[in-house]
Amino acid sequence: MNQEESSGQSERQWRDDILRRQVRLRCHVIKNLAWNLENGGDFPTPTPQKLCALIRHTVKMIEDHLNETPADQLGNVSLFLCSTAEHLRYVERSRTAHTPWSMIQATEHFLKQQVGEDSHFIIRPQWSYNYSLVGEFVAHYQTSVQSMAWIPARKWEDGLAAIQLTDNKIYCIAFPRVGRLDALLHANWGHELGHIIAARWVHAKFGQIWNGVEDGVKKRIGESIRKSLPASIEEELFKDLIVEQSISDMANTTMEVARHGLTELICDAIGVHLLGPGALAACLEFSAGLSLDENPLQCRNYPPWRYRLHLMLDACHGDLKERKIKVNGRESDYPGEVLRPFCEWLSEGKQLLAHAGDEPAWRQAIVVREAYALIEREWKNIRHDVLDLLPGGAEKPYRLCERHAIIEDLAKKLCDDIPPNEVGCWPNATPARLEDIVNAAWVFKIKKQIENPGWGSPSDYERLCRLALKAIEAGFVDSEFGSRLREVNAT
Amino acid sequence: MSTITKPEIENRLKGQDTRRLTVTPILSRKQIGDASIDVRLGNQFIVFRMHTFGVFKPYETPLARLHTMQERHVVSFGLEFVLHPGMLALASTFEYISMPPDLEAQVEGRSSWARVGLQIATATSVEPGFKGVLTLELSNVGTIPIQLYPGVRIAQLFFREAEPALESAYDGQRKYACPIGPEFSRIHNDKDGQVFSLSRAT
Repeated sequence: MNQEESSGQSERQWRDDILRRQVRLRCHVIKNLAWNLENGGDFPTPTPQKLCALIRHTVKMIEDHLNETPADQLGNVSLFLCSTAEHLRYVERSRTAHTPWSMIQATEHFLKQQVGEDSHFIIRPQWSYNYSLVGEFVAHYQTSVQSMAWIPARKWEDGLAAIQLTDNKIYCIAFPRVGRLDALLHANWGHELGHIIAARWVHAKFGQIWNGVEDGVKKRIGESIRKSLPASIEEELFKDLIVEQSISDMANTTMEVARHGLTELICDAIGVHLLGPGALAACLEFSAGLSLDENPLQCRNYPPWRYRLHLMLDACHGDLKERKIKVNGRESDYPGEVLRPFCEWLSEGKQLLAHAGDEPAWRQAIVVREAYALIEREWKNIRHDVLDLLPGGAEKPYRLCERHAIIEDLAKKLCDDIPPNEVGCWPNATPARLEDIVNAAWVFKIKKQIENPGWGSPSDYERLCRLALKAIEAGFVDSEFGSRLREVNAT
Repeated sequence: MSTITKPEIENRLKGQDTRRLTVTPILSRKQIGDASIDVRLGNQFIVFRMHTFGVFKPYETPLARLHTMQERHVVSFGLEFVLHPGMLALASTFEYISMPPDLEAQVEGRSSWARVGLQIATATSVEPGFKGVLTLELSNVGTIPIQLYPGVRIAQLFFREAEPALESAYDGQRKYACPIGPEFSRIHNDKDGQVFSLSRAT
């Protein structure tokens, strides 16, 4: 061994020692942080504590097997621990002090009904004005542990049983902090839930659909490129090289625009399916300050809002039509006096959002045109497939027209400053469902805004949100504990 | 002015007119007694941060300071809140109440709780037209800590007819409008108290 090699080895050794100590210390700190958060209390549901337990379990495995960790992997483990620590912020922010806690338990219960009891949700605010879904965390940690060959993955999996997470999933849904108490806007949670279903669909079906159209897309892109090639390129071989490279790049972009566009449209469809016009109204308000016709290529492949809203309005079409409907065997007018302002407001939105005239500018690029031609050709079948992925009980769409007597009853309660947590009157009252409460709150809000342009002060909104939050909490407690109480009292 | 009994309470709860009494949700029929309705404990609690301040001076303490000396806790249904001897905690009823213009109510503790040292309410009157949950001033005057669970029956409401009925319904502009949880004290808003405290200062 020459001197250079010897000093190189000792330098490596020296750095490895530093890293190993760092990793050990980080493991210790993260475990303590997670333990403190887990036992600090004040969470509206046990899910944040489950994530702490998962992180502690994983970090302990890393710590226990630190001596077997190959030196060249210490840097990666250190980076992994840093990213793990970041996950604790989801827990920290989900304390009751930061959340509209009275709707969290009810909302998690509602979300679980749509994707399965094995899924758990942390619901927390974020400073950016957006809704988002992060996760799934158990799979993330499983994949990470599997990539660390020196840790027995089986042992890690066995440890999940002790923290009751075997075959479970944890997601985090974030909402804008400035709209913390706005239970009406939180109808957007339906869209975020849609990401779980959309990911399943994309994983199972998108590749198949894309393979079926890829050649045709490439052919049309090639023709378009050839037409626009400058005449100055005379060398055929050179020309072909440029064309082939461009076709490949543009076909990839087309695929990404279609994939991402479909993902968002599927999420919108799920949101409207679960929460009906309430989800649509939340999207209409959320998008009011944003450009309606943004080119997907300029906004991370998101579909333009006008396009999204149109599809959502189409899905709610049946709820906006004036007609006679049967309620308890008796014919009555729909939408009726109470629901009419809301339905008219949505219909007005449909007219105002309609495109008159030319094809929108965002469709002019061939990659976007091709992506949206694919989406439009397949949308009906895709929507059908996706809704089939929802578990039993959620396959029926939420229809305002079918719930209109209930919504009227709940909206009238709001008019009397009473939380709409039960349908009917004592002793025949039944607890209201979360989706009915949200829709009734929208119906009330739009009715008030239209009837009285002076309505809408911050205290008016605050009162509405508080009544809706109280209703969601009371409806949930009633449905969860009420039947057991009645049983106990009957014996 | 007489206390109304079970048949009238039930009529008022079923009613559809302006005389309707709303107490929602009533999770069990057993809550309705011969002359009262039992109400349950909500899951929000306000407690004093005793370590952060000295003497509470209602008309001199700035509003921001009033907030820093109290903190709100939320206890999920199914979990407990422990009230230690000598401790005061503001809580609320789980039920939301809407009083008609011709009824007033009295909040009373339940004797079962009183026997272990729990006092429920000191501001016991609920005015005609009031809407909201009722703030309860829980204090443990006994010698042992008391474990409380949100949802348990904690107090009872007795109703009396108010004569004549108020013509205008509760206007919602009062100091505590449509609350859905216990409210911090707003005693600093009392103008007459400010007059007296200023006279003393000058």
